[in-house]
Amino acid sequence: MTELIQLFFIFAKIGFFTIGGGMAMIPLIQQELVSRGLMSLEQAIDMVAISQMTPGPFAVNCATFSGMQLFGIPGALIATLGVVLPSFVICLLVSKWFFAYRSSPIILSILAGIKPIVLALVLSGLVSIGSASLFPGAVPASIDIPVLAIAAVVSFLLIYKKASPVILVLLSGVFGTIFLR
Amino acid sequence: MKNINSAGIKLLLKIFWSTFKMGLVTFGGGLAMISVIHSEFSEKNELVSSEEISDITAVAQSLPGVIAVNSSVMVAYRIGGNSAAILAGIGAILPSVIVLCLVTVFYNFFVDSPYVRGFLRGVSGAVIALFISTLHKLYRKNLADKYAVIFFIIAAALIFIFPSLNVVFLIIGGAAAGFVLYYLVLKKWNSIND
Repeated sequence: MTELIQLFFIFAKIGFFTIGGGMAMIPLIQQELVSRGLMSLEQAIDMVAISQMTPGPFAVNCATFSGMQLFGIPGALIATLGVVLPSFVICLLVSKWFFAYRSSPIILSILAGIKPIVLALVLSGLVSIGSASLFPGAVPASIDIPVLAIAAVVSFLLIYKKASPVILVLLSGVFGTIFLR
Repeated sequence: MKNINSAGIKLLLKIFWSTFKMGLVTFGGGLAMISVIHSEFSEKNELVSSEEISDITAVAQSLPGVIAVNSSVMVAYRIGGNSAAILAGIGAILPSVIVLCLVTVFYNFFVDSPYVRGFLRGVSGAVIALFISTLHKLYRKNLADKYAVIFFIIAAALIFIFPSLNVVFLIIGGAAAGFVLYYLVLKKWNSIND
């Protein structure tokens, strides 16, 4: 029981200190779990690999995986609750306030400053994920043609045909399962 | 959401289902999901204006917590208040919980499976496309004037020069610069968000 509570607080802390995406949290997540003796380093490395391979937010996947490994389904639920609780609390509080003042001059000015930054973050996400997926080998010259083709076709369908991104992601996965093994 | 009637319940279920689908295809981090949020909540259902979604995702990105959950909670709050927000957050993480519980059991099959590898290779192409369509959706809204373009170039340059730079500093910097420039110096904030 005390270990479950400890797990809850570890992931609540991780959830609270995660700003700007889960990948930046890899060192903190590993350090918290390994240094407290809850996981071996190998388990923590597995956790990161699995969490990147599965759908869903990275930090949530880490929480569910480690909770499940350590204490089964109760552990998975407790750790996941811990990691998302800060999101819930902070966003509900901020929402109440944000939607009331969204068109105030100060908020509009601040948002106008943040929005170009978000665009830069999206661009950097594109560059890092794009380079990792398109050039998987050690030799940068070998581009992954099928992945490039999927990216081109799906971009076209999203932008010009307003197709559903949910369906396109799943279809791309099915296509990969059949043809890109 | 004081009177929960059948229309209210229908709306709640719709919100839950949208965020559940989003959780199911969240690969490549919360930023890749901006495009999905636009599609589910603005283009398909017109529950929230695309302008508002672009504001909400900017705020969700700036707050502590899991970005995909933050965005889901805030968009749903805008539509249906607290109950919608909580349902949306649960919807966004439920696929994770189900998939991860299964994967932990079938760990060895999962890690070594060529099918899983093929699936992820296919998905990675679609994730690149999600980023491209997000850029396409946001660039006009988020680069509203020449100052925004300068902010964007500075932020992009900083990210590429210092890859380990903490995102928090960039966002706080952008917020501070926006406040000083638009509120204090230019005294012009209405046109930029119209």
